[in-house]
Amino acid sequence: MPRTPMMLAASLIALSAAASAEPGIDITIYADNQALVQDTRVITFTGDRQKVEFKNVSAQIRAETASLVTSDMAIIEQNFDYDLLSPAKIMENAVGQTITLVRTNPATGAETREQAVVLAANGGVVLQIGNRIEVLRDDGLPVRVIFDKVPPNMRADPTLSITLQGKAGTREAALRYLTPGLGWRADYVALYDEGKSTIDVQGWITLTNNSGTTYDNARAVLVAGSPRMLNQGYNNNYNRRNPGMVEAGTESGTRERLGDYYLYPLAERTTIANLQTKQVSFLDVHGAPAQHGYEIRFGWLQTSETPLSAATMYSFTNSAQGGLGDQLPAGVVRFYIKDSRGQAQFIGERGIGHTPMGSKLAISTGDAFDVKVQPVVEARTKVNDRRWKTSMRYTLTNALPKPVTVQMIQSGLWGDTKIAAESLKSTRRDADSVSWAVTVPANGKTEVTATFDSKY
Amino acid sequence: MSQNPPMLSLSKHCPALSAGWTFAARKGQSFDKLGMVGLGLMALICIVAGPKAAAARDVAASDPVDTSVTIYRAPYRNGGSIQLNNLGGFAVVSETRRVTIPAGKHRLRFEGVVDGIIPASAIVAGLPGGVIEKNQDSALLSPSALMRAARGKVITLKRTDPKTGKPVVVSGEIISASQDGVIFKTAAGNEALRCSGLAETFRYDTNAQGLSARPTLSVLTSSPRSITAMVTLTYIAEGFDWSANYTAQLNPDGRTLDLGGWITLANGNSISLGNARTQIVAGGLNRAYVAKFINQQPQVIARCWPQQRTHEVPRKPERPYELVSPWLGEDYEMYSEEMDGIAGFSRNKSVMPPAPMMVMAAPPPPPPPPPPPPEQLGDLKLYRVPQRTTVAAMGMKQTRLIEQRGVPYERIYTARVDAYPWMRDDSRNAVTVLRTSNTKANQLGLPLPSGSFLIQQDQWGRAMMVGTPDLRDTAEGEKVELRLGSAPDVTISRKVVLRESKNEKHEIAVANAGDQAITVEVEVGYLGTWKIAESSQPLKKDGAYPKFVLTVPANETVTVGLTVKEQ
Repeated sequence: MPRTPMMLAASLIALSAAASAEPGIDITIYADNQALVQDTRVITFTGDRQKVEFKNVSAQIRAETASLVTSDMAIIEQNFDYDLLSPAKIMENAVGQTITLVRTNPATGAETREQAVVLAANGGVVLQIGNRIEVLRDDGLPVRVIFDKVPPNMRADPTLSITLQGKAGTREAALRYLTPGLGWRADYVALYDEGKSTIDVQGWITLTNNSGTTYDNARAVLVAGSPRMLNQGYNNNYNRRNPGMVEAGTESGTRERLGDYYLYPLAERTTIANLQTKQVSFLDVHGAPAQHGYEIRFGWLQTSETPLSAATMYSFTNSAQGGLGDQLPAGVVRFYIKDSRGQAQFIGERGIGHTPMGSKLAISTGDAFDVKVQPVVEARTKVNDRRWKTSMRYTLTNALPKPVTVQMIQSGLWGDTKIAAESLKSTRRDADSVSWAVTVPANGKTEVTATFDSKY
Repeated sequence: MSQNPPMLSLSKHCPALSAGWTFAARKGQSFDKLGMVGLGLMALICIVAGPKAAAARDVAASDPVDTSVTIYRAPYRNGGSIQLNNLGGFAVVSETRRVTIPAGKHRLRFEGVVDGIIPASAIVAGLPGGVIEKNQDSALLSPSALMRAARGKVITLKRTDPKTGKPVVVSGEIISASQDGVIFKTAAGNEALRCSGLAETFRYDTNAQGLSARPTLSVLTSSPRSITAMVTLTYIAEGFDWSANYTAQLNPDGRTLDLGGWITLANGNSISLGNARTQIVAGGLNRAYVAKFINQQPQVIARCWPQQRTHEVPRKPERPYELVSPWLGEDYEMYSEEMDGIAGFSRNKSVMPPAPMMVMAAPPPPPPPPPPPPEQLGDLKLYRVPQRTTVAAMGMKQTRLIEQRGVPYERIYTARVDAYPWMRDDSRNAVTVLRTSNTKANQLGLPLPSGSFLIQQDQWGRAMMVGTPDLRDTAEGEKVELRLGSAPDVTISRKVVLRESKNEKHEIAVANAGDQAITVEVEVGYLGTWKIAESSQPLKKDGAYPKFVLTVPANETVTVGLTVKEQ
């Protein structure tokens, strides 16, 4: 089955149409600031051609995706009006029509009313009153203008109107559309216990509504995954990267799926107000094993004039065995650690991508204050016309009162770069990089030297 | 989608409450301990009611009875001063509040949270009934919000009788309220507000339509019985920052300096944190920048159209709402890892040129007790402000960081010469560097968070500024180098005395016009495919570049030779 998102959306519509029996709003929210809204309302069909207005649709509705689904009905035309009612607009629409002017006598305060025809409203209002032409408020005196009616295509809020004809009777009809402005991600609170080397992780779904509209009492389902949407720009055209993931998992979760995506239905109906951030818990794990380590990575054979801090890394898995035991939707992981008084303090955060169950994660929370490395290019020596040798010296320092191990990664080993000599055995991670696990004594220093044999 | 979707959270992750934590929170004799100890409590989401949404009534939590604030620095800022109106740092605020919740389902409102709150970071601990959902509304009470909320409802219009000047009350309906004006309907018809030239306004009933006057976070909770509890709300809020400012007073002996350090912390929010336990965290943390609301609350501007002038051109039709894309964070970093609306963030680790900097005014004299050393927090450093303090809205505050006397230092002069081939002769001044090392033997030996220095020296009985260098995060045992500026008395001239196609000889002359013997370090910079073949003096190779270490007597010149060859 082709898995284009629009197909997915369509299949979702078909499924939910069968299931939904009561009026109300169902919202399916995708992680990419995109939502499918199904707004079921009871409509009384007259049997003739009629116009049905849907107020309170998303102010950002993608009108081209709107469709009304019900039985025995044909749509004649569909309009999305966003010409918002304002004093200037109502005047522009009154051109050629008769309005009422209310003038106040500045001396007596007496009000006089007269009828006028609006001739033009281009940079000022030209009126015809009886046989004379007058410019509105040209004399600087306040004049009230009273309009008998509001033009039918002018709205106080964006409104979708559908002209349709259906078999007479009262039936439910579901309006479906896509809208940006509703999105969600996960937020994780991870508390690391230094003594036990464990983490407690709580996961929260964070839903944000920026669509300009409040959805009352809605049933919401969140879809973990990033369907490709039209007009969504560059960020859907490549495979998502997930820098925190060291090894992708192969375990299947127990949550309900939609195609390749996991579904997170909210337990209760909820009101999603405009400009609101809403959070609901979905994960709570205690005492999962985690390791604290250090990592530093050099992109090329480089000299740094000052020592560089190693990154603080926390590694754990989301495997069912010895891990968090759930797939992790994309979001932000915030790490906390308890201070000497037992109060949890924030130590850094990192975004993660959608992470299947059973993955290994290594998340950097920031720079280690006390663990630093200074790389220096000691010499570049020509071996022959095609080969060069580069001698590197890495000085690792540790100001902590305990020994630490730093994963030091030298990448940028392009082509057939080899290590000719080294003071500590390295591991070739891949064609472009090697790593050393360097132990630095408490309040001490370790030097690692290596000579690279390369083409340039 | 099935008709009865499986309850989120009713999966296998029903909270097995960590016994230890429950204990701490229940027994929680002191709020200090409560702090965020009860993190584990918050996910009591299993106790959710059925899918029918019961009408939740609002209950307000008390104002904070205890507050703790931990301030973090802007991740990309090392030194320099901070501006109150543009603070790039943040704080973790932890507030303990008293709540009384009747039995049943209620919306518990925490009013007056710091306006820079990142709602997704909020943690609520200590609620016996657990948290069903957390909400943060950006829709605050304002004249615009009131008017927009009243649209479509019958309200009262208060106008002025033009004859008597007395107020007249008419019933009406607001049809439209936007930044382009307000249209209302009365029995007479439709008209725009502010066209009568006389006072006219709307009167609303007392129900403010659920709008909050202060930034508010609310949680939906369900309680089996009426309870009173102490609840801790912890969240990250932006609009804070701190900086470290050091003053180094050079002593007349020319070999030691007195070092003082201040932490300046700032709160750029509109909420004051009163009588708060205050901490500061030093070190570089990763931040993840996530999409934020760009659409602000729509503003209503009541205006008549056209105004008195006739040449006013109507505005072109616009889209009513901008279709916004999430903000993916700023590229301060060298490598931006971006996915799903979350921009990765890693600080630029290369050496940055020092930022232009404002000279801080000399801080007030230090208080008597020496500041306590920082506490280790993972790989960061936690400083506590010794006593409780009020972190006022739009306010700055200074606290002592260090106070060390008689720190020995070395004054050296440095320069880097580019012996890169085909360079022309050049001549430059050396840079004065004060060098010491952060060890106990040097009266230091404590972590020094990055910040800016004010280096001063007494002359003619007054303090004179001699430099304002920056310091990066410096761990115990590390070298400290404070670069003051160029020294006009020390000149380094480089001259090519032999130029062949693959062989060059440079002569480097170091002239000292001062009346003291000095130490000059001349580094040989990047050479590309060339290499040093010969030097007239040994080169020291303990830093990033090989260097000559020369002692230059008063009023003399020392010359060294350097031969470079192409490989």
